Amino acid sequence: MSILRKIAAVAASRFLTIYASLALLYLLLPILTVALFSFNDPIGRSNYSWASFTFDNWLTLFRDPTLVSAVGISLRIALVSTIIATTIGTLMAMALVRYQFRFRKAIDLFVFLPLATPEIVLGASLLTLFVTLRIPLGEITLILAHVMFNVSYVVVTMKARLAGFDMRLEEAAADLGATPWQTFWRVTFPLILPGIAASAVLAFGLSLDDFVITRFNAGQVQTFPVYIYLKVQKGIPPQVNAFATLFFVVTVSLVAIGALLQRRRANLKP
Amino acid sequence: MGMIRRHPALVPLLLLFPGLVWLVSFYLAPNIQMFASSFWSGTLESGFSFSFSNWTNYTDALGKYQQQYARSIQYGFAATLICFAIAFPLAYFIAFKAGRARSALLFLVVAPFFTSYLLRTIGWRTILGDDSIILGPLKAAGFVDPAARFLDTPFAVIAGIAYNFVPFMILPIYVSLEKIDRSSWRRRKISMRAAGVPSVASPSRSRCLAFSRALSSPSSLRLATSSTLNCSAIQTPPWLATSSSASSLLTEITQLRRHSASC
Repeated sequence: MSILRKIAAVAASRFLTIYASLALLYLLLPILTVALFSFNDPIGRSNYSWASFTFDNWLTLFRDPTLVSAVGISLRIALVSTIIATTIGTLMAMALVRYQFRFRKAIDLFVFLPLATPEIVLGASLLTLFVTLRIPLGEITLILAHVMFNVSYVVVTMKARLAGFDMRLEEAAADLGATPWQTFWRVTFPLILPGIAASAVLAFGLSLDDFVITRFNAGQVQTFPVYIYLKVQKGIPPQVNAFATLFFVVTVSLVAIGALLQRRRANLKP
Repeated sequence: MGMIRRHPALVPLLLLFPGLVWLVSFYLAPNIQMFASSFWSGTLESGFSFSFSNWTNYTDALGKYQQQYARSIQYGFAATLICFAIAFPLAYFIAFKAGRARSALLFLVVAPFFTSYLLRTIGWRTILGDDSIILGPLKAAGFVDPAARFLDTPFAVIAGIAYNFVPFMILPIYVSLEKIDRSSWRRRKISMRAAGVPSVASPSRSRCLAFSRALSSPSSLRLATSSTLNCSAIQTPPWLATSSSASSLLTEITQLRRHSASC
């Protein structure tokens, strides 16, 4: 009886391991495909079936000026909207976590509403607003839109971080004669910096990858995702796969370096 | 600075001001406008006019796009089930069986976020294509009709939706599973055995309890998430914060839904 049960337990745990590996494979398969097909030399225009191995796509990364400009525009919009959204989102989170005031709960709820709203509603309603106000569509409207959806993400991340903040550190700084301004820049800011970095990474990634809201409000401007979408019918050039793989590798390396630095800093502490 | 010192109540308002202005202008105003325009009638040439009698726009839309609404709900439901079938065992494995590989595995779960959403979806077109690595050999061996295809079928659409949302289900389930104290199961098993209760029954029952608690209670889920975030403030790498903030977003949304349901 107990042997049977042991066998059953081992079988169950083997099964779980295999199932979990397959689930992970399912998650990673498309990423591997995207990377693999950046080394494909496709026959014809569509890059859907494997033909032969080549480094050409990586060597001709900047061949299509439209693609290069799309990548540039995406990076620019992501950078500007991340800076604005991280700044105003951090300020909002500080107000919501540290102060008691009327309508705090209501404002808290209001900040989360954009996250619960379908992207297509956000995109379509913003387009209606811009058209009604006769604001020409372009990079400016995209930045306005990207900051709008990123602010809420930043507030959520920062609020959780700030909730764990030890207020005694600020009190100690004030007791030792620091002005509020000095306290903020020398005590508070360095301590919440990891949270700010995490929010900024999140906002940058969301902005770089946004398609739905961008498609509504881009006008003639082509961002990287819009470029990909427009090329689906005609065939996506393999350089797109190369760019995407490059983004992936760069992000993953940055994250790994960040993790290593933090681990080293943690080890240095007594 | 002087004014702030004299009126400390102004501080939170000043901090909130830029963000609120942004959200009111580019979130609230467009949505109110969209709501208002749902009572419009007219055409682009003759102009539009507002009237509450145009509430029939709603019944018109429901009638005209019935099929699309129904399909959205069906696909969403099917994708949710698939997500759960994939996410739960994986989250369970990472929480309890992965050991030292835990953070590496969590990283792999969020890895899809670092590749373009559109390209990952197009990646599935490659994998499921008509003569892809899956269908190609099956067709060549004669197991499958040469005209058979995955692409452009409800199956492909549901699989694609499920794929894109699986990480959003893995993370919150993982976070709440991680909070369950496994030793309490064992303790209960021992005490039950001492009381003469067959030991097989107890762990499975408490497991069910733990699972249902983890899944059904948004408040415990939320608690778990925010406390993970809090203690992660200094030690954890940013990607974990990013992923756990993604999961806390989800729980916030759940809260929000519950809140609006209770109103």
